[in-house]
Amino acid sequence: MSSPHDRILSPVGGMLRPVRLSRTTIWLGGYLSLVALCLWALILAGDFSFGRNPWQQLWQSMVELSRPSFLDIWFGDQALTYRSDDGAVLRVENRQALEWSFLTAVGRATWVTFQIATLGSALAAIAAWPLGMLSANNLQSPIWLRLLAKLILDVSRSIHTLVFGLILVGIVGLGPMAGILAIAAHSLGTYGKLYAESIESLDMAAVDAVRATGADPLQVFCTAIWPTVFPQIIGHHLYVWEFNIRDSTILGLIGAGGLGLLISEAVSLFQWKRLATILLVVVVLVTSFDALSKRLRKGLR
Amino acid sequence: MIELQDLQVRLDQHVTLDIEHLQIMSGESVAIVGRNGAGKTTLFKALTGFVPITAGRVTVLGNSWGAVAPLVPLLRARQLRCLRAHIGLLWQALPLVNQLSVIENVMLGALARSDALPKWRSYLRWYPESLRERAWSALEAVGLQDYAHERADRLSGGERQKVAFARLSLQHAKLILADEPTSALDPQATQVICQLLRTLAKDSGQVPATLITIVHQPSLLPVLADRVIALEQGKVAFDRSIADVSVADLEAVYEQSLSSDASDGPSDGTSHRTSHESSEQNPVSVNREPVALSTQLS
Repeated sequence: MSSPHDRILSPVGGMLRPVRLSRTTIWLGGYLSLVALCLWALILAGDFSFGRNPWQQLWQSMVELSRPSFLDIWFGDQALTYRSDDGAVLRVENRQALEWSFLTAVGRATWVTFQIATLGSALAAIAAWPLGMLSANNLQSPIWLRLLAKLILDVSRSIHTLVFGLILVGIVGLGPMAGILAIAAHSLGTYGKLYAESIESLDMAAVDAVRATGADPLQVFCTAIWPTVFPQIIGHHLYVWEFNIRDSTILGLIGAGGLGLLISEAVSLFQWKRLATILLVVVVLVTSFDALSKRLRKGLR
Repeated sequence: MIELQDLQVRLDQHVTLDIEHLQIMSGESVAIVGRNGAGKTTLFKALTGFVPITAGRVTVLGNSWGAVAPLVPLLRARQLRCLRAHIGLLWQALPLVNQLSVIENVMLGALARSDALPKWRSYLRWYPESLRERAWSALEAVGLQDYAHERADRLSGGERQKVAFARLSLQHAKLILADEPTSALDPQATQVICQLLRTLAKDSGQVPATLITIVHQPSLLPVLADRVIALEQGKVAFDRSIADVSVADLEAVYEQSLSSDASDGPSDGTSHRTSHESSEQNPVSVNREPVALSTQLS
């Protein structure tokens, strides 16, 4: 009903002339106004601040983080002596051995993080399948079931993994199990949505053709739906799994095990060098998994 | 076998079909002609339950249904599946499953035949050797045996129509509904498929299958049918045996001169030969001058 062009009067040369604006321009203008509004409100509330001496703080942090602790494995002092003010020896540390044991702890935590991501993704991938099928528009599921499935998936997607983790730690206790369930609870929504989209993009005419031969619903599924949808599912699984690897790295912050715990410790104790080590390990983990998943997905095509 | 009584189908406030009475007996070969929008496809959809009817009664293969409220299923699911297993569809709008191979697409025609393909094997897509051989020979009959293991989406439109025909031949249907089955095929392939279609209907079991085809090319009428029903704006314009149908009748239906629709040389010769072999007394071919179809004698 509305015309695609809106007329706006603009003053040109003293006369008012109608200017035609396309819908895209209107939307863009609206978006920019929204951003400007947010910024203005931020400034008004006094929150547009970077703290005291931000550049100095940044520089200091950069300096600390640039010397990761694992370098001490080779270059550390093998007999670092702590002395009190009056010269008494308080403690002697072998920096090399200490940092080596820390690195092995990081290795173990990485393995736990990987387990959390993998098991949580696998659980969600399976559990989301019935929900995805129910919420798809073209499989003629009863309307109330469809809405219920959509609701579950939306709630799952809205609540962040960390929040699920906090709740689950109170239910199943500290440790990786809470992490696995939290990852599963949040990615359920993503998997379900992706499955529903795959199903909705099915060529229903081809499915109807198979149905028209008198095949029963399970036959129709196994021959017309599954072979079409399965390659897409593998792609979705790799995508969400990779996302969950990243998500799992911080679950330890709330007690669900893995690297997050070490990150939390390092931050609390102001051990920036150790934090640097952990962050490097996280980057290596995520980028290598990313590269692997890209290769696998390329192989699918 | 098929009976329509006071059938009315309304789509979007527009009456698409309005047939007082139509009866087709088992084993007949019928052609449906008419302009686009005359209701031919709607008729097929009404016969197979793809479209709800607004009034009247449809009886197909012993199953009968009338107008039902929306969202109420026409027949119980198992009954509907059983009915569909006996009706073979060769429609343009029902394509192949792209991800599967050509030969598997052909074997899908036998999904409802649990004697040839046990259900559990169909769930696993582990097809019996006998079925695979049957599918292979069906592909050979249409000349596509070299494409048996290609993915279905690599075929051209005409090849896909041939595969759809091969799939139909594995279904052992009692009623075949073909909607422009050769629209994407060249004249030679058209003749081959039409012949095969007719043979498939005739040779299926003790009672020949009923064959109803929607045709647009008058030259195909003698190959495909003994009886011609013309639809015009949802109503039956005429319903005659092919001997009584003249070119003028067809021209009236399509409202244009048919002399420009004459098919090419080779198919003329072929149709002469086939009409010799058939039991029809009046062989037909459309040549340049519009002549009454029934007066062509050789």
